[in-house]
Amino acid sequence: MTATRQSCRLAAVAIAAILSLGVTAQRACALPVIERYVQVTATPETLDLGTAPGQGDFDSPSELTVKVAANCATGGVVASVSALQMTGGGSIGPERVFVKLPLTGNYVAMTNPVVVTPPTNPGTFNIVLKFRVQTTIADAPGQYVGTVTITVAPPT
Amino acid sequence: MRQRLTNLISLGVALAMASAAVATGEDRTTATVAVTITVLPYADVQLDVDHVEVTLPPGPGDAPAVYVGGTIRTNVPAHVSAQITKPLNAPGDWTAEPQSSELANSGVYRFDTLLKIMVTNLPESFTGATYTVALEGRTGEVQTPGAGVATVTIAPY
Repeated sequence: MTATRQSCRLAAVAIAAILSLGVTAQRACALPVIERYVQVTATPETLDLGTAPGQGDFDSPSELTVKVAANCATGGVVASVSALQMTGGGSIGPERVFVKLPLTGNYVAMTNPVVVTPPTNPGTFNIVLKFRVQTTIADAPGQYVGTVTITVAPPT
Repeated sequence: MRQRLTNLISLGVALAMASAAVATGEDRTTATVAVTITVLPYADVQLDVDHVEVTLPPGPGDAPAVYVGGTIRTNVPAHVSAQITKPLNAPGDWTAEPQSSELANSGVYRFDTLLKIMVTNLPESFTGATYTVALEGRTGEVQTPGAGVATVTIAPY
């Protein structure tokens, strides 16, 4: 008898929970909320720009593919770079790293963050970035390492 | 009866999980990429002149020494050495005494290197003549990164 009562109570609680969830789901259906979605990815994760044979402008043959997916307008894609540091000292500053603008084909110094695409509409798109590095006789031989940051700017 | 209740509860839990899985937005507005570039050791040399004139006196003997100047650009410590070979129309055996000038560290340097030309086995009948010796600046052996020495050779064409 006691077991039967407990079972009935348990059933009642379960039914109430299900009904409650049903109401929540109905509300969710009645007021759909599509939240802002922005995703940017860049490949490869490590970009080997290559080997600079001597002083001067070195156009890297490597490419960085940036994929942007957004369900809202964006303020465009911005690229920046840190100083390229060599173990044991020496660095190549951002002012000597250039990014090629996809739309114009011009190289722009990355002294400050560079807007590589204009504001965009909702959707997905890819851009390919190429880089130029300016080396001087003051740059000791060796490997230099830095970080490129790709940012999707908010709409203005 | 218990089995039915268990099934009901499982259904409720599943519905709750589905309800919680209402799409949430994602904001990943930044991507970072590590970049690397390798800078090679190098040395470029440019000479002030592209030829020198060497005048041999009559009879066996050494030619007067000549200086060859130029500029070297290098990102590793380097030194300049000089060598020369006999012009095709010249008599005797020609040798040159290379002179090296040590250059410290990297940078742009002026250099004046001494070419001491010695001529032997000239024929007795040789009465003296002037010869033009072409020169070129040539980057020589540049060792692997970290070795720290580059050799620049000044050699005839």
